[in-house]
Amino acid sequence: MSFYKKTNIQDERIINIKNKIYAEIYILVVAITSISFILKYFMYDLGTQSVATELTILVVTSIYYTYRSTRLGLVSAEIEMHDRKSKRSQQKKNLIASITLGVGIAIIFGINSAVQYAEGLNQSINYFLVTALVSLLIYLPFFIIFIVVGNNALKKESDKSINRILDEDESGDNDEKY
Amino acid sequence: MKMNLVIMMKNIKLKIARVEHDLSQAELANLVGVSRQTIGLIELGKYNPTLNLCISICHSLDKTLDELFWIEPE
Repeated sequence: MSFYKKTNIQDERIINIKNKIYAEIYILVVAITSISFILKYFMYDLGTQSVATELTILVVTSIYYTYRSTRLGLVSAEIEMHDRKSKRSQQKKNLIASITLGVGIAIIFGINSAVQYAEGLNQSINYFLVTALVSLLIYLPFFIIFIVVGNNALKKESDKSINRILDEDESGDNDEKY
Repeated sequence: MKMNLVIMMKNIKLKIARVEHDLSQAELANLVGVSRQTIGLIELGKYNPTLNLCISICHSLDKTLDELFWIEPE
């Protein structure tokens, strides 16, 4: 019996706590970056160039999360778990969210146009209706394509990935842990 | 290295117990409260479940931890 008994078991408590800390760090980074973006852009009015770094951090981390969660099949699993627990499917919720966003933005733009540029009640109503309608025609398809069609495409890709992972047998196996 | 090989081994016992209960991966996943993919990955030995998840699977399949997850030391 040797003094140094080698095992390949890692202390999972340490790994789990480290991962938890990394997750907290990510939230912290996003929060600090967002605050910096808001302060620079909206409060100090420093322009788009001054917030390029903040935007890059926010966009790249989001894209990376989307890419990894799709490639590892997490999107499919999350939708499956959501649909099992919720009365409304994720797809229906996405549709409702995109319609709400589209209509909401159209109403806000309509009100803004009526309050800022119109004179008198009739012109206000006219401006509101025209701006709201045009905004609706632009933003509703945009949100439906971005949220509903985008999510469907991600789910399809995620389904493909997880099926490929589950089909990988002894042959063509990779070392990545899921 | 041996331990890695053990972890990556397929869990045939789990698959057999599931089939004995006439359950699909999705049905077992539903009983346990996890996704179908998680059950699939455990059966393939590609995901190392926590003790809590192992116990939930055992309860759902009416088996003991020994019967489903025990591996003899080499």
